[in-house]
Amino acid sequence: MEKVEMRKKDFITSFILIAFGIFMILYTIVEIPMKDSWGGVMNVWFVSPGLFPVWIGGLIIIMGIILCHRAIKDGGAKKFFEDLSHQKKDSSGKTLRFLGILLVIVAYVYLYIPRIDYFLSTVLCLMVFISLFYLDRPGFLKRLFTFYLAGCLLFLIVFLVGIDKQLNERFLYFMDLLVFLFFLAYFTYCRILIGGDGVLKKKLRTTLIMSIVPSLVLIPSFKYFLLVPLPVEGGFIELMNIIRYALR
Amino acid sequence: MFILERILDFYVTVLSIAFNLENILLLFGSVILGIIFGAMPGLTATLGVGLLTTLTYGISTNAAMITLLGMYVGAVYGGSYGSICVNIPGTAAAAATAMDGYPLACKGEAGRALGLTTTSSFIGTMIGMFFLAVFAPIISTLALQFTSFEFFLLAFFGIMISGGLTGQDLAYKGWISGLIGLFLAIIGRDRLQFFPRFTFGISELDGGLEVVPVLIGAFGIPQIIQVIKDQLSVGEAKKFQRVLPELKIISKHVTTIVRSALIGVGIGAVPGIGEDIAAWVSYGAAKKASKHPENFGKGEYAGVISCETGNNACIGGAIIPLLTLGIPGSPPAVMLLGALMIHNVTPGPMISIEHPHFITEMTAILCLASFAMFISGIFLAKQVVKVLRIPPPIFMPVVLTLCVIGSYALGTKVFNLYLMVPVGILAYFMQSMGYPIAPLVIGVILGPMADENLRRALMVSQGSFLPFFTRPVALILLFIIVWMFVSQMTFYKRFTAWLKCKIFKRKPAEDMGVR
Repeated sequence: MEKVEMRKKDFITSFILIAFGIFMILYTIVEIPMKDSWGGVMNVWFVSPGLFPVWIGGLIIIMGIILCHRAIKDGGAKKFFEDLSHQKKDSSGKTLRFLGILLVIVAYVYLYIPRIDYFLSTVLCLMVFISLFYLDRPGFLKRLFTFYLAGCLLFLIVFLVGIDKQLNERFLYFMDLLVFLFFLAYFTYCRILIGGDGVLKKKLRTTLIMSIVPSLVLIPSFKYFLLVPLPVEGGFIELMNIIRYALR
Repeated sequence: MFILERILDFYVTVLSIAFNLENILLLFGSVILGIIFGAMPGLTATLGVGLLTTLTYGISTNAAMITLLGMYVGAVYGGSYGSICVNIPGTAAAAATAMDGYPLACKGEAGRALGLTTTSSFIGTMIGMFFLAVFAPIISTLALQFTSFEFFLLAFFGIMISGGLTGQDLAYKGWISGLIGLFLAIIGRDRLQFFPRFTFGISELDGGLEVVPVLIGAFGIPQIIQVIKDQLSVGEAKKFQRVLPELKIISKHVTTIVRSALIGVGIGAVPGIGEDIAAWVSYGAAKKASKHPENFGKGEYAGVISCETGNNACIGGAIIPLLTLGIPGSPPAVMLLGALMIHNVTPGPMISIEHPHFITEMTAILCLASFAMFISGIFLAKQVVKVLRIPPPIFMPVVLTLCVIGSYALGTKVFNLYLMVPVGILAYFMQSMGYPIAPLVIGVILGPMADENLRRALMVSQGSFLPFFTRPVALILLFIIVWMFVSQMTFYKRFTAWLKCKIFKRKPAEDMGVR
């Protein structure tokens, strides 16, 4: 059964590969000169920068066709059309776990790192990522995921509309403060969900420590020892600078 | 005299590195970190070397190589801790060790098993180092004869063989993975005419994709997703007292050690395959050669010794093509290549001319790293095993932050992170559908080499493909590539089956006149 399921996926990906190969060849033919002059240099086909992409595109198409043939032969195509008519729901919870991981990574890299103090972004990411999967109780993942997703969507709207720039003009670290409040709200929500459970209280304490301590070790190491300028040096990193220069 | 000179040079280099306190601290620090990385499931030698590459960009090349090789050796060995103590291999290279290592631990011999893996890994690394010292200069000299024709075919051969041998499902999935890697490699302005290819007007893509963030994304993100999504949980580790070298048992398995080391070096020298295949092939060979194969899987010492010797000998083997041809022999060697490029060392045939002492230095560092690994393993095993208690939902998020800052720090570009995430997600989906990742990264690394050399070769021959058939090495490589491709086709398999049938039909007794 597993093999047939794999071949079903292969059937789908073979078409994606063939389409991608065709795209590569068409793009190369349209955009990259195979002959004529470029930059004052007379081009011939065997020197053209389009030669390699055309060749790779052609090979991808061939591989896609071979994969498609194998998928059809092993029953993948049949399974695909059968499953189209009977849509199955994933009840294992793995999809939610995957979406949770994806949300944390995407929000961290695309939403927070380019705009918010790097230390705060990292602490928030660690807090959410660890709590989602370490506080392992039924229903927790879904609730925490929904809470975090709602917060991220709110911040996304703020950033897209440009309100963050206006707010930062009034007070330099306004957005850092907002995200910090969101972090506190998330922590409070976790605390409420846990209630009086002693084991989970201990786990939440560990989560908080593991959110802050690695960030306190890594970020100063990169900033002060390796002299790496961080993506956004906001309020918390400014505080680190003050402490560091006061101790010197 | 020349050989004596080389040996003397080697010992002088070893002593000059060993008598520098900073080097020793770096060496032991990176080896212990490597053992921890290798021990923890989900962290791999490749990821460890990749993350450490970022940290070493500001230090000297020598110090960087000490750190990275220390991490590499430590991580390959460290995988055995998880295999033996909790039956969860820390790295793919140690998966075979679990077959006999865990049963030994269940019998109360966890300490003995760890002693065997420590000593076997040490011997394996030393044998790999020996082959590196002997063969690298020879291959480097031979490679000076290669022209663009051979280099193009070598690059393509590397991708083909890596794809063919690492694919768990179909061989052509590995080739597809390699072709996707080649596509990623051509993004940016081409090196000969500086024409933008697949940049879509994004200026940040003009320089192409940065290798280290792509590699970190391809190896780190899928691991993080897989470990957390599959709720990998590590059980209670088997307890043990002391770890001893177990030289008595080792001395009874000399044949196994030599066989496994030769297999490890051989497999390491083949581009992109790596330590896990070396370990399994060594294990399989040891089982076949054993007088009691039925004992394998129940705590057979030869099982543990063969895997660890093979996977550690692979390290030296993987560095041979890396230094002499610029083609990495294993995924961690791919990361090493990235590190070498950052430090302006271009591996390839010219390395013995541009950096004449480099191969000797690498050999010396590998020798010292194996001693550091042996000492750390014997004395620190009990402490390192404690890291296995850290639940994956705690350490995998920390690994994510390491991947992010590691990818960012090299070029201090947030764009690198924007690239790392989609590459990582793509790699995850590819892995889940049976596409191996090693050929993808080999493709990313060898893509520029293949592209430039193809066009250079055709420039020389004025568009003629004839030299591919008239140059002996090129013809052999071409033949192997075509054979590898054709051997996966159904018609070829039918043809060989028919041929075997025909051959066997000629051997029956009536044909020989015997009844």
